[in-house]
Amino acid sequence: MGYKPIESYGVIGDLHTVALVGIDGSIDWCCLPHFDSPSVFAAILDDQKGGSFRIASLYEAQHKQMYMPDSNVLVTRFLSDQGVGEVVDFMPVQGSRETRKIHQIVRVVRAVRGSVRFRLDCRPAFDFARRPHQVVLEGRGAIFEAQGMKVSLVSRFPLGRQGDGVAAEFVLNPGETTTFILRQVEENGHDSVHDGVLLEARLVGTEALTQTLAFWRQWLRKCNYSGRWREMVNRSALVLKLLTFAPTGAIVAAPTCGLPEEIGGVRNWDYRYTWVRDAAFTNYAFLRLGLTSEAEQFMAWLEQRAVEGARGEPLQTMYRIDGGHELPEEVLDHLDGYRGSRPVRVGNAAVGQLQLDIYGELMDAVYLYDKYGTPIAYDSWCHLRKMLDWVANNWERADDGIWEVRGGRQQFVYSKVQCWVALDRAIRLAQKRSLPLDRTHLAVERDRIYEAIMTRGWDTERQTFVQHFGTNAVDASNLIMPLVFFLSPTDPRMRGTLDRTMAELVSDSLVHRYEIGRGAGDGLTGSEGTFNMCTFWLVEALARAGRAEEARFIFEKMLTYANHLGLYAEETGPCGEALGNFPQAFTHIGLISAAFNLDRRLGVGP
Amino acid sequence: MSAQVAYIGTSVPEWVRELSSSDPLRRRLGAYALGEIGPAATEAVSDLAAALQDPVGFVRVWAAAALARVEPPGGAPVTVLIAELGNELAFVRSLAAWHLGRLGPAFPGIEQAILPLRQLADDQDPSVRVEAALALGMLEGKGAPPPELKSLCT
Repeated sequence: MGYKPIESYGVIGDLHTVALVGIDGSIDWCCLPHFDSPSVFAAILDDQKGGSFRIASLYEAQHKQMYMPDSNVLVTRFLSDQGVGEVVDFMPVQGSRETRKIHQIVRVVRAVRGSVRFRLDCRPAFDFARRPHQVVLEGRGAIFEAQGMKVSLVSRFPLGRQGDGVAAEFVLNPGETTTFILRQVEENGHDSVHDGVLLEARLVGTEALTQTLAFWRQWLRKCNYSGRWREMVNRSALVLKLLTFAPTGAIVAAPTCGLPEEIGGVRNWDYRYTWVRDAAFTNYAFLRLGLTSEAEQFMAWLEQRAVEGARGEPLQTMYRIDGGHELPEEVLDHLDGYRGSRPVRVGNAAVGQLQLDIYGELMDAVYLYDKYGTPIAYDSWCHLRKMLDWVANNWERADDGIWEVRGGRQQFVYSKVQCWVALDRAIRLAQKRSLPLDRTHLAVERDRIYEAIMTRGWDTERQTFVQHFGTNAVDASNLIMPLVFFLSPTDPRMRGTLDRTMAELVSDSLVHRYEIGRGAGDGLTGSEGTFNMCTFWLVEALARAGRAEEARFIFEKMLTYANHLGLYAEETGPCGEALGNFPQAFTHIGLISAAFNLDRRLGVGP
Repeated sequence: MSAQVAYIGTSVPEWVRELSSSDPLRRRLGAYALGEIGPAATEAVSDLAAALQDPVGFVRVWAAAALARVEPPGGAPVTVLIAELGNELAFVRSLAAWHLGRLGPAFPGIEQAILPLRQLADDQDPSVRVEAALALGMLEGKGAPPPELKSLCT
């Protein structure tokens, strides 16, 4: 079968999980019922064993993909001189009042011009291809049954058994449409799912399509961004919404695991969890776009984590989407890995790391939500206060940093900056709302952090802030300083850092997060691509520093690295290829923020 | 020659054997596969014709649809499909309507299906009504814009 480029995928989802749909019509990634559940399709991690669900024209055809306007409904097109066919893929979003949780991938297939011959191949591989299953052919399709899980495929055309999957070929006449539904029904603990429910065809594809389109269009209507690059900003908002887990409001960093930061490399992480950092930034992006209900739901989730933090323990860097704390890391040795990129990991050992920056990101989210959303409640404030005391007493500790280095703790400048942000926002919030706070204590510590960064985090000789105390290596994360108002964007120290970053970390407008082999590494071998979020931070830092035209050029160049649907992975490789988990919230957050601030600085134009 | 012609890797003789299975789902799949192979499965015509008398309604429907593709000029498929529009099972009526629509307006004798399909407009089952209407659209050459385009206009 072979591996397709990471950027050749589109994504659909139902706010519980997603599926990646290749431009060749193959669904190569889907975990059911939730983002962090074991996979049902994982051909992206092993093209032989992983499992996939492909529907494609049998004619030699040119492939194209697009989203239906303002939606997460994906159209994959097959164009040939014998006929033009389309597969419209989406996952209906259930209302919160539905008692039975049903997850469905609906695939509406049609012949647009001429008669088109299609082939369907559906071969699930449960639990990352570890759990065997049986195939039962039924009148209305097929049921795939593994221990503890059943998935059905509803089909009007008879399905034939092919190994541990099913296949069918069919011809659609001009204008004709047929619908396939892959369905999983969550067990509710009281009754088991009957096959009749799994194969029920009550959902007509075209009706579901109309409803799903309406859902996304109504949602996007709440987005109030009207500046430049609106299409890209809207697409980014739609991606962030897709990465939201509706039952809790948690936001996954990306919906995949094991996609490599270097082809054949070892940096293959599981991002199907909620990082406090990424989620707090997402909250910022939602608020920027006027999407306050998403922010509200996420704040409730975040507050719950703050309550846990107030019990005297630091927050975890990440959580399960249901708020759970356990994310044991496991290596899936039996999987080939994307293009041989091994090991494939699920779970994430970085959960046990100390990353002090998350308190700053969390408090910034709280501050912004109080400002643009709902004023913070007293009980929430009390929880946060205890957490802030902890920050004030612990900011001098070395930590593992934003990049989750596994090569030993350091006094990372970025972490210090965010500790400063945590205390600064608390003081501002208390001032603004006249909330009780030991202002003196927090202000003293906040100022001590500031001086520490200015003395120990600054390299006078190279005129730059450095990655951590005691090194002269630069780090792109310091580009955030003016974005969080740590210092003026035109401060000579920031100008120096900008210039040094551009000289040492930027390659053709794209930004590496740090220099591998210099400063604190991640303890691993090999290399990695440029880090998309950092490129957007550079754009913003330049724009704020009054270098708007330069920022605009880099921003617009960065837009060319999106895939054909406007999606980004975590990183971009030297040939413009997407690297790392996909699509990645961090990158799309960066795009929204950079677009917003750059547009503002460019003004209304000539 | 026919042994070289296959549907999802299985050849004509093997699909013909499926028509004799005790499992109606396998008989249905056998009929469908032969229909997909089309005129190259000509050796299966007599077996498909026999399947028009299958005791199970949905097998008869799929056999008729297959026969229409393997030996297009014959009139038997249309007759069988029209008869199944009166089947007591709603899903068989719906299936027969769908297949009649798929035969298209150029299929010999298809005009006989127009009136029975119109009569299904009052069928008690909504899926039968929808399929009959769609089939009439196909046979009368009306067609319809994709539904999502309509929704975008709202």
